[in-house]
Amino acid sequence: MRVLVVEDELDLAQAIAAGLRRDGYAVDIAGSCSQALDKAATAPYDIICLDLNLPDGDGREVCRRLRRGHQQIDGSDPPRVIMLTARDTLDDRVAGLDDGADDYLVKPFAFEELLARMRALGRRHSNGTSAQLTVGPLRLDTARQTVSAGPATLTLTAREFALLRYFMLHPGEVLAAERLLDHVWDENIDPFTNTVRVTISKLRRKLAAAGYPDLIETMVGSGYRLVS
Amino acid sequence: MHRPTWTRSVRFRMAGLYTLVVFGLGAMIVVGLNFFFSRSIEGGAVSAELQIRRVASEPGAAVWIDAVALDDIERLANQTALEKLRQMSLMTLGVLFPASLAAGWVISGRVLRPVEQIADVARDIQASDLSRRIRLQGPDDELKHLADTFDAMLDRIEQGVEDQRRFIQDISHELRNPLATMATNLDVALTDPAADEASLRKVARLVRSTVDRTSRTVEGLMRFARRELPTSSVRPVELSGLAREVVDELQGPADRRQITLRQAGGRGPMVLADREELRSALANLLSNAVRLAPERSTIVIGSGRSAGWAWIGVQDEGPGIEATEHSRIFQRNWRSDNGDRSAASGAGIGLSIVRQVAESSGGCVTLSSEPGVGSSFVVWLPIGGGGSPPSTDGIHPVRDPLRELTAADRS
Repeated sequence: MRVLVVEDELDLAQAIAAGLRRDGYAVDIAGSCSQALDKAATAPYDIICLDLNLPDGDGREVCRRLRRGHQQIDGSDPPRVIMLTARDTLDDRVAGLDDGADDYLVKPFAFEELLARMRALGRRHSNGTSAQLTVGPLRLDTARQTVSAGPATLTLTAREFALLRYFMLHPGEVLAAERLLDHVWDENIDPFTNTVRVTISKLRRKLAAAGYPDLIETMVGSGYRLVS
Repeated sequence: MHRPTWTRSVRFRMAGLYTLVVFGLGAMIVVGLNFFFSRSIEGGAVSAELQIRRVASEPGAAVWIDAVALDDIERLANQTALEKLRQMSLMTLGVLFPASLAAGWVISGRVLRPVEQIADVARDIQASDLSRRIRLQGPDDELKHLADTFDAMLDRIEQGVEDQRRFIQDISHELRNPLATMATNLDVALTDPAADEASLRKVARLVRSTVDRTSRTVEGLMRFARRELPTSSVRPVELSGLAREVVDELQGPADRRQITLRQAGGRGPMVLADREELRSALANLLSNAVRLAPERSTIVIGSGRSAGWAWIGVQDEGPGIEATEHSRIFQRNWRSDNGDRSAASGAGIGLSIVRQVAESSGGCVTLSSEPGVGSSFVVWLPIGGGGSPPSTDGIHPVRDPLRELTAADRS
């Protein structure tokens, strides 16, 4: 899951990013409206955490423009927006949600709550209704960050977990390496790297060790697919 | 012993007074009438005259008219008439008393009805909803005047409560951001299983500096809340020294955004002011600039004197403020209500504090700004009875001394 944190208070933005990365999200940071719109135009974010008081304008305008001018970058869903703001009046909250936000969280918030709301947003477009994702023998708990394949429990790194979660959110779909790169890795990754291939082969090895060697297929010339 | 409530009302007293006056006057007239009437018939002159006239009418005739008896008859008739009059008078008075009481009660009720109406509205008004008004209809009299005055007072109270509500909202906003920064940093650090001492120390330092920043905000708020009090610690302040102090204070945040802080202007001038207040006002201006200016830009903080006035100000390189916003950003609770918040919105209540500090020293704040080019905020302070203020409305400067100074530096 690729996340954009839009927040002009750098100390806060970095803390949110650090916490989200530990949970397996690929996180970029934008400090202003214009930066946020630039980044949202070039990368297909799954979730955008949007502060409303930004130095060059109102975050709500960013939200409206995201909703109006959304171009599908790689056939993925439009980003879901969670507003993080100190404005807490009823009018503000209603206006925020009406401007296209999917969720609204008032500062200061508990980081646990932000994580839970992001998980809820992350599964809104999938068929799962809880924090549990299940595809074939695979069970992934997004809240507890545990994965099991059949009876065996897998020990995955944050990146492998994020990759498998993305596969499990799109079971049976052919996912191009570029799309995986966009949604599982942040903007600091070199686009010409073979990190996708390397991470997938590590993941396959761990699945094979649990007794499921063929869950992730390579579709030559088009990408990868999780067998559902 | 308590009298019943209705006897304690103004209406009761007014009706009583009315009855007293009407009944009293009526009684006086009736009693007076009776008195003079009875006095005028007790003289017996009528029967005496009659007796003489009768005797004289027939001379020599031995007609004997019993004068005494006639006298008695006349007196009897008079007494009967007088008795009748007294009875009628008493009856009149007996009717007049309840009639005037009733009329007094009705009339005072009519007169006092607007007062009831005012009291009803006053009773209905709750602290949470001050929108009700009396809007008394009717003639333009004293009570209408009272109701209108009451309405005007409600307008002012409602405005004051609204101001206060927005002020509290602004404060909560100013305080929530640093709280969120601290809470999130602590949450993330505490839930990190791999946290080592270095990373925890880093978080602790960050929380420490955020606390400092928040304390400054609270100090400013307190100063703002106490603005009615006279400034007690007015002393000579050297402005360039003050500028250096503020630059040192904000060097850290500026470095983090790769902003260069440059101090311009020579030593001096000296002004009489509350040094602590002035420092906090200047720090407010500079921290706004540091927060809002583009990265890798330069901020100039300068001081000098011009036409009998000392000035100290901050100039940044953008994003600038639209001219239409200029007058509003200094207002106490300025917040852009429309969706397009300008660059200055992050300044919150800071600018109104700056303005108040300047004005409490007999000075003012001016702003000159061009969107996309930059803004200069200048605090003007009088030097020993200087000339006229640099601007009349505190908003539009005659000129921008900072721009002149930086232009002179460049050439």
